[in-house]
Amino acid sequence: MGLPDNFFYSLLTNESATVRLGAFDLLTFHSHQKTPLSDPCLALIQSVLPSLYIEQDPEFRVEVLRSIRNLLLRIRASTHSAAKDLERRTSKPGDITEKLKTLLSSASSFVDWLVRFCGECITPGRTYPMASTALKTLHLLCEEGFLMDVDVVAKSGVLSGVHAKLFSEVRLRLLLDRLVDPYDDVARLAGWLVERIKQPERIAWGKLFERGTELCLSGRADKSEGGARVLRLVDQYSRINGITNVWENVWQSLVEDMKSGDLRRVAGERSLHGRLVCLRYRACQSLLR
Amino acid sequence: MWLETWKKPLLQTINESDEYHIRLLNKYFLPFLSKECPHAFTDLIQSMANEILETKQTTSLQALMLCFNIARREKLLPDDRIPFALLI
Repeated sequence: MGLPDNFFYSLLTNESATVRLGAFDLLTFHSHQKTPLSDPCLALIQSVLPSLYIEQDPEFRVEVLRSIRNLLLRIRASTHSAAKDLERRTSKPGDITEKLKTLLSSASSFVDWLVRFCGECITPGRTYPMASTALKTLHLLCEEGFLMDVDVVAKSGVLSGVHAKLFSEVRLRLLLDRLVDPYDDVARLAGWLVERIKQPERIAWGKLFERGTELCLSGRADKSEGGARVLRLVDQYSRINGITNVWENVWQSLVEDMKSGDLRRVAGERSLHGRLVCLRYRACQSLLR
Repeated sequence: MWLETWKKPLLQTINESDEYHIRLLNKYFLPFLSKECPHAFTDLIQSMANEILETKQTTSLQALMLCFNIARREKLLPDDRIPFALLI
């Protein structure tokens, strides 16, 4: 056509966010979901995703996630067909079998990269837009059945032909750290993932409980609420970690502090907010039951 | 007639305006146009594509991409699906 080689990249990095997102949507969307994405297309997505994840406007971040969902649905549908075709053709090696294997391997590499990238987006110091978009992407990956170590019922019966692991040692640590994120929705999104871990025995429950108890007493609202969230998680897995009576202990400590009558100490060193949030979780649980 | 009247201002708005105007065009005007006047909309796309091919200039590329994206979602373009078996 005579267009420069980088014309699409220039659209994806255009100064107008509308143009950038339009181009990204064009790149990921296809009316026929089984159509696989080519290697250059996946490489192009990898190169622009970091800049799209730092989008400041929440409305645009919603659009980015919509395109990401289309992308995941496309990967899932195309790899599902490819894996099925490959099963049928195992006895007849040939050119098509090799192409199917290449398709699956490219998609698998991309999904691995995407999970790694989302992990990098939640490292300490990353901005709220980046962390929140990355966690929402991980949720999408879970719901569409890409992550094998998360206990989630996939939304669709179409199973992806490629899978990835979320809970590496580093990512598990990062997600646990995000439980005490100052932004409530980031902490909630991280908590949702940790609550669904298939191997909860991998978490160092003793240390987590100690840290949760300590944070619960913090005078800072974000930290104390994070501590309450941690204690709720500890209680949820009490059968595995053997830590029981979490709520009773919280209630007991609260009563003791109030009875002591030393308000200066309660206000300065043993703040009530975290423990009250903790008990609110307990009340919500009882109501749900 | 339609093209002569609207194409130039439209391209100018997308290429030279601030984000706010581009956003309004993409969110309201272009989807509305594609629904209410689908023939005019496809004429516009064809005209922009021809211009890019003839002049080898990419000034209207952004507008073309936005219109193309809307046209594809509205299924105004011929079905571009290729059976999976032919792709592999």
